[in-house]
Amino acid sequence: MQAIKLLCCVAVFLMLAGCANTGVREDKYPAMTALKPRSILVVPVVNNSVDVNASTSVLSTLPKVLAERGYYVFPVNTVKTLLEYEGLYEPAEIHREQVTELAELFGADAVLYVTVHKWAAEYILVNTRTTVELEYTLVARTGEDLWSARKRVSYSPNEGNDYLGKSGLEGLLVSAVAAAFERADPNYMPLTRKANTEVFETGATVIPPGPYAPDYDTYYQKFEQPESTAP
Amino acid sequence: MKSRVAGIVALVFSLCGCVTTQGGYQWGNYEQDLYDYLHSPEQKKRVVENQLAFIARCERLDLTPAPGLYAEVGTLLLLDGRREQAIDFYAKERDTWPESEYLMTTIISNLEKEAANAGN
Repeated sequence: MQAIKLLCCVAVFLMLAGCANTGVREDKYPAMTALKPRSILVVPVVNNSVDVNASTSVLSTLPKVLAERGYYVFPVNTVKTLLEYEGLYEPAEIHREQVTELAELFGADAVLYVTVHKWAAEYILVNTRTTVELEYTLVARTGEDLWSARKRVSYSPNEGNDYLGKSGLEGLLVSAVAAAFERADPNYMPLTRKANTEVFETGATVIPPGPYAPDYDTYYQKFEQPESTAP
Repeated sequence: MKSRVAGIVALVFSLCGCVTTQGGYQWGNYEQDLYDYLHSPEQKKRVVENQLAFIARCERLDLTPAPGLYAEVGTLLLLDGRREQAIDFYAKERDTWPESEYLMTTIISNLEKEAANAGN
């Protein structure tokens, strides 16, 4: 009982501490502060996994999370189509283009590059583990790195429940079925959204707000240099 | 026991406080439609009609579609050979989001040139 009380108190404290980052004056992303980007060009995603759908799957999840963070996000399918008109079909090729030229072509303040490092469902004994690992880099139209993050998230249908503890054979069967379902139709999309949410909105790498976010002005005001009082 | 409940209530409240304010954007079925469009060629017609219906619904209710959505419909229409209609949607994107002005203006003028060269 005492332990639970204590745990609750600690949890509440940690939650509050997590919310209190508005008071911190140290600027984690000075290049962002210098540019205050309004718009983000999301270019097609590079895929280092063996699943051919990974690139376009990840691409489809990015506009919402970035727009809700307050940015104007260039329409990703329009961008993809225009790049194809320019003869750029391969994401890796697009990532090698000069960022300054890409940004100028679209009139964007910043370009977001995303790479899929892992996108796989692995079957281990009677369990399936689905893993998604993504790397994100936001680069200014001038070529300067603004922000980056790398996130690995995974899911197993039989983790955190007690199928195995219940009764030997029955539990084993239930978990084998769950594992087979996960393997047949892995939860890639929820994992991808989870990774996005954590890196952009809730985690340690939370990205500064865009111009349509209510905290855009207050965020950048914190880092404004006081008027110099030189003689 | 009471303090436990209080602890849980406090926890829930503090979590609510952390939820970032949503922009209140209208997304419709964009994410799923985009996914289907990119992965299932046979769904393309359905996606175009669905997105057109979504924009029409937004306009009827005086709601602003999320950034990029007018232009995405423009591109779907363009790829479907409906250039005039596509230009209208690119113009809507330009008039709604100033950040898109440069790109939308470029696209529209290219399409208008193309139309002039094609003689229609």
